[in-house]
Amino acid sequence: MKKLQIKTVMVFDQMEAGSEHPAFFQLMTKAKELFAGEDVRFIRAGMALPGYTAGTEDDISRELENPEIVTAFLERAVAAYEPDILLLAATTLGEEVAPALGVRLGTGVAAHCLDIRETEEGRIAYIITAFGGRSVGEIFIPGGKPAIATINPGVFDGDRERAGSFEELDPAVLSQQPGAEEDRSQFAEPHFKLTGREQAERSADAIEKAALVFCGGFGIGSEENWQKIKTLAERTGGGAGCTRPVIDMGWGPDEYAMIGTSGKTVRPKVYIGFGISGASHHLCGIKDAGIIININNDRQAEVFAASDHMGVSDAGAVLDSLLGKL
Amino acid sequence: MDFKFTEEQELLRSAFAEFAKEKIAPNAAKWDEEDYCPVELMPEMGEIGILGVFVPEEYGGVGLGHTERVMALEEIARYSAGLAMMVFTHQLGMAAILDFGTEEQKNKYLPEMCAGTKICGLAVTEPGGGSDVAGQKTGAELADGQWTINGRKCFITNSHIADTTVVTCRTGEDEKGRAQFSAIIIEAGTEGFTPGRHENKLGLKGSVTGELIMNNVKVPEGNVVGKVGQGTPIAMKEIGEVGRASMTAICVGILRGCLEDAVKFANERVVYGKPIAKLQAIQFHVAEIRIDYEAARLMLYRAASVKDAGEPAATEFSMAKHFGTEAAARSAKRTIELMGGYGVVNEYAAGRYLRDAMACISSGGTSEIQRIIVAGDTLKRF
Amino acid sequence: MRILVCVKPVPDPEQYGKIQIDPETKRLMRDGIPMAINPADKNALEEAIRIRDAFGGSITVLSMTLPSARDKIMESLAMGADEAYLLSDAAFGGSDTYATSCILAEAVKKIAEETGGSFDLILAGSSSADGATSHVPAQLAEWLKLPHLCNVNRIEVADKANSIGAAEGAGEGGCVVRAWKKTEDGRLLFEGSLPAVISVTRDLNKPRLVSAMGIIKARKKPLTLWSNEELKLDPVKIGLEGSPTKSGKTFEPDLARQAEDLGSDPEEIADKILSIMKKAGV
Repeated sequence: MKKLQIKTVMVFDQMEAGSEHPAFFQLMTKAKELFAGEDVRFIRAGMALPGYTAGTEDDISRELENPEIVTAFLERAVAAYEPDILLLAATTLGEEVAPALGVRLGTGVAAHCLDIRETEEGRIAYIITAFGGRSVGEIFIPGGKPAIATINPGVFDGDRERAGSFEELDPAVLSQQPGAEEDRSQFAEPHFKLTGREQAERSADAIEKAALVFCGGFGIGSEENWQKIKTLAERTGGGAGCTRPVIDMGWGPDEYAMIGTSGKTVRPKVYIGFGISGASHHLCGIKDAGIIININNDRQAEVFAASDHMGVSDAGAVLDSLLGKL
Repeated sequence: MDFKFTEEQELLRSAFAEFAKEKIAPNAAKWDEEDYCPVELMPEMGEIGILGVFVPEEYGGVGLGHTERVMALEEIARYSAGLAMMVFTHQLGMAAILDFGTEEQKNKYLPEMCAGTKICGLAVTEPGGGSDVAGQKTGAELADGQWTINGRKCFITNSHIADTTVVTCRTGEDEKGRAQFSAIIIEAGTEGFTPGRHENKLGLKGSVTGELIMNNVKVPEGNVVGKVGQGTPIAMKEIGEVGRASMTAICVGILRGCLEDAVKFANERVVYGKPIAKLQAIQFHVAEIRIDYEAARLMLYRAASVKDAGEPAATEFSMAKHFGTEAAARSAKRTIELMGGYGVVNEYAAGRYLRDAMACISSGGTSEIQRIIVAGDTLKRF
Repeated sequence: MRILVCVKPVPDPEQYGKIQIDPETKRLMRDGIPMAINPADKNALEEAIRIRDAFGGSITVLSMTLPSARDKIMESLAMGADEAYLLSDAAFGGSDTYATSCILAEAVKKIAEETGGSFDLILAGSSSADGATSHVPAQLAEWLKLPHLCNVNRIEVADKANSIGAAEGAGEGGCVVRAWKKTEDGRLLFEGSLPAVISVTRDLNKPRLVSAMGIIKARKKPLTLWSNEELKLDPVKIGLEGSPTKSGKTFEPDLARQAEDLGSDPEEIADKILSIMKKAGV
């Protein structure tokens, strides 16, 4: 699909605590950047519409989290507004709803996108990874209406302000759609009923699985600083990793905490390194991290060339500051 | 001629490899350092089918052959040569019972040994020497339906952990006055049967090696394996085929460790701005290790297929054992050299590979003994 | 209880570090990387084995793959599945998740038709290690018009009267399932009746290791090969042509990143780190 053909952009908002989900603003901001133009409509597909979905607050929150209901709802929204492109955050909800919609609407879905770009020929390319981040590739959805894409939260920078203004769905318009009646009975009696909810425990997870990884290198300089890294991990439910010298120096961790090609490969959303020099075998073990932050007192440290954020400071001092705030 | 494993054998290999990677690889260095024998893994290996892979199903085994048996040992030894040593010695005793035991003995011992709930051993070597079978002094006398055994065995693998040990004993003389030996089963806990000294070895740590002391040990007459006087052929056959096949398999495993570690290191270690794998001097090391590995592997699996075809394979196993152990030792040394300073640091396994390979050279007959066996066959044949 | 498990052979995820991209052709070079059963599919199979062993019934493995990956299907039989169907045809090549799930759905229908009984439960790994779209299970369910639940890390099956014995062969609607779907901030418990499609994550259980005995038994279990001659799908609906998504260029990720300076004051750095963490939701 060429960029010029995109006249209606719909962005799903899965909501959080009764208001817009942060990922919605990220996607809407990006959508505006990419597709803004004359006559282009931007629509927020948020559920919890009075008069269309069910009544009580409890019902609404259950509906919002049930993929079956969300899928039926979006199917109706797409039929009513006929968007050319539908964007969803690649949350566990979005990743169940998007493919289901793909089959119902007979269209293609690009999964877990890292980016959406316009190619030189004016086509819209969805950037996805494969083989655990080893390869990155373009996906096109030439004939799909709408083209559907899910985008990893945090990939795009954006907020309420930059997202600007957008249309909201009109319950009256949705209600006129064929099938809207059935939706309501489905909303009341879905096949899979949500009957319970558990909050995740914030405990130190295995570093390969952790969404947040703190990592210490030779530059942390002491056993005491390694303990601080561990404490940070425990407090945030993140993982604590290290490089080879920290083990060799006997500062505490064992081989199982080592990150790098000869140790663990991690892909957290956020990686925070302290006193890491930047040897490539370590960098290969963190290359798939969403955001890489590094603290090192040497401005010339190689690790900064592979970081998204750099702090030129003493690792121990930053650890203390973080501990004071968490 | 087909040099390919069957689909079933490939599946078995990947099943064994997966077990080794999950249960052995993470602990191998620790077992070596602490000289710890992981007996608790035996039931798990039993469940996977490693221990009784060559034993017919009717005795609780899998019903496959020695090709599959050495395949499992290679996969174990890739990470822990010491554990492979323990496993194969268990199988060595089982093979003696399977090949020569009575139906009753097979039914009594093999199912539990296949399951890994009982550990087996085979004791031949004495302080006077291992390959000098005729020089054994441990004696057994038969009286009132009981054997009374006295003597001492040394360098016996599984000495301190075996529940059942097949022990070779002098049981008389033939009509020409030559010593006759018999293989007799002694169970742990029998009065007068105690493990002695526990050896502190250079390599193959994690396998228990030590003495067995027999002081007026009494066992029923029916504990003899095979016929009375058949002890020497039993020991020679099992050590010559099962034992040497296993030592070779262990060395093929060590060689694969050398190869994988050397390649990984050469690709990762950057000197003068590029990985050392780009240096020809390093490439020569890698090529030599690869050639040693491939050659040892071919000799091992060919000998195993000869045995599985039911033909005598003692010479084939002698050649394979001689080549495989020496190749493992020189390749381990090469791996250490390739790694430079890191090669002698114990975080890397290369030093352990060398110690294990050296320990393999003297087990199951030294290289000199193998040459004598090979020469004997060669001078007759060509 | 009749269970179907979708299994996908993928290049061994532990060796993805070895994958290179040909600088000329931009193609992935995966030579020498062995195939493995997709890890989460093993969890699905393990769960199927546990459910079957508790309720009775049988497990059918279904895989669309190259004929050369037959050994991986054998491996799933060795692990404990009862029969397997391997779908392979040049016409299937190039299928995206939409076309793939369409082919799988057709096969599920045909198996049910030919064996005279539909499936009570369809399980699959929630995501494959190679493509990692995590789309096929939900799409398969949609083609089959079955309810689905993805990203599940705990499953409980019971017959409606809660007595396990009565569940055997209970068939349609006879069983209820409780499934915990993992989300960003915990788990949601859903309850519904079978049949359904459930995709599972790797923390669901610990898949058993394959035993030598299992491999010997696998020899005697039926493994059926089907091509499009059996499935008779319109070639326009499958393969490259039937796929609404098309692949473009492939490139190698660059390790280099553009570092934004957080300054040098520890307090200031810590504040900025916290705001980055918050934004990323960790």
